[in-house]
Amino acid sequence: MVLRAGVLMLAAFAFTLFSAAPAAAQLGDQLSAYSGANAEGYLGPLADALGTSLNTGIFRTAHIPRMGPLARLEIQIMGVFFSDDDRTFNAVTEAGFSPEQRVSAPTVVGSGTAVTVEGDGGTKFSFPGGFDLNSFALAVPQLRIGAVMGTELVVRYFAANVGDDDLGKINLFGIGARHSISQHFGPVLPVDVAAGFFWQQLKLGEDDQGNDIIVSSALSFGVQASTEIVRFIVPYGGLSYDTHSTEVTYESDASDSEDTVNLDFEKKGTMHLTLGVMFDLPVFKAFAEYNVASQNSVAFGIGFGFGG
Amino acid sequence: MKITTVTARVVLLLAGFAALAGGCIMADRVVEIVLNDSTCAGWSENHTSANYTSDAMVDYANELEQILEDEDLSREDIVSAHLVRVSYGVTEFSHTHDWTVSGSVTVRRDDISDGPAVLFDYASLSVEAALGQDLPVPLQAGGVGVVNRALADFIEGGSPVLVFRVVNSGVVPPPSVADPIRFDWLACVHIQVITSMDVEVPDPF
Repeated sequence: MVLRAGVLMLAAFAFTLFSAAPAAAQLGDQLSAYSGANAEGYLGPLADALGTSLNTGIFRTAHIPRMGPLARLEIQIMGVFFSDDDRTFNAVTEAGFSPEQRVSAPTVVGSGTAVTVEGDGGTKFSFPGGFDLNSFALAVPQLRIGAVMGTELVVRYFAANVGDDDLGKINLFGIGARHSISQHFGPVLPVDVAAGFFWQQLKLGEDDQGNDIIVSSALSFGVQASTEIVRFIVPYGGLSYDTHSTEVTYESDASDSEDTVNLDFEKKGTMHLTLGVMFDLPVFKAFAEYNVASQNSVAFGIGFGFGG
Repeated sequence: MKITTVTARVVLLLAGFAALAGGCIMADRVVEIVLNDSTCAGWSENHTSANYTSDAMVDYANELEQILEDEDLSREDIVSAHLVRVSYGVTEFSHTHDWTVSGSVTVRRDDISDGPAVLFDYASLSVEAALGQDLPVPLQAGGVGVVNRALADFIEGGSPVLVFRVVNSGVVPPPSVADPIRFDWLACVHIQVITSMDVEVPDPF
């Protein structure tokens, strides 16, 4: 039964990756209509969603044994909800169109309908539509091992090539550690408290020169608390400071010749509040959590292992 | 309640949720995609008089078919198409002195009767300064209308062919048999084609 649940979660994980590939190909078409400034506005919500998702679902219970063994494989889905503000950006007509005009145009998650403005002599300029998305999800496997002096290591890794498309190559690596704070206070503290950090890098796609098309990096450090209120039920919460940055490389034909455009979404920092609950059974764990940050997100998943 | 019973119930709950999520991850969307393309008409000027005309013919149906083929699309996928801008540049110039030219470029349909209408005027334009450049020109409604109607006809199944004509009216210094004005140049018509595509996107929540 437990195995079946794991297989289903893995299937959902694989499905997310494979299904994203064709949409990613269309994304390349849409991006090619833009040079740098518009592309940054168009892609902005997705770049933020990538960073927010990566910084979600890193921890559950704050209880870390003083000495091991602890090993648990977790599979989780992290989802970000887009707000109305994410759906449009302040776009400007591309070079050469006269007169230059600014307009509210769809972002990658906005309306699918293109926006068109009129210029001199009846000329027109159109801004491409978005994909009309309410949410974005990322599924990742995560390994938790320890414990040495109340410290555990957390690793995320996934590498795959889903299809022939340029955006089919996916590589995720993340590593971090958490240390039990409450172990140093004995029974004084009514809850378990831990602190830790986690760094990740997600690479999507590869162009003809072997360069990564999307590279998203994320770093989170913060504190967590949890306690078992009734048997097997462990509410948990955490407060962290997250940063993330994304670089995108794509081919633009906005000027009618193919130009390579490099977008660098600057590092963004945000406070991040997590509230969740874990079903803490022997061997098997399940969790669901809600996250409040610059973009609100949810995460849920399961874990198998021993210790902790 | 026994641990095994609780485990089984939680697993069943998650398995059901995962299966449900698997079926609901994908969503159908209609997305309008904007394709940019340009078609250039070229002229080789070699004149001993300031008043000259030169024609360049562009089979727009062929050009548009090529765009669609590159994107694996058909005419039925096109929502609309329009002229965005026109730019020009000199590609060959080897005189010992510059020339300034004035005149206009008109456009008309070759396959049906539409135009000619002025697409843009140029006045006291330095030929040497335009060498290797891609310079924008202010467009006139008459010529823009001819191009946009040709694009609309293509979407409706037509095969538009456009003729761009240079109508030059002034050259400084005046060319002569001993000193003819010779240069090659291009005028590029930049268009956008908007297509509508049904795509499946992951939108799980």
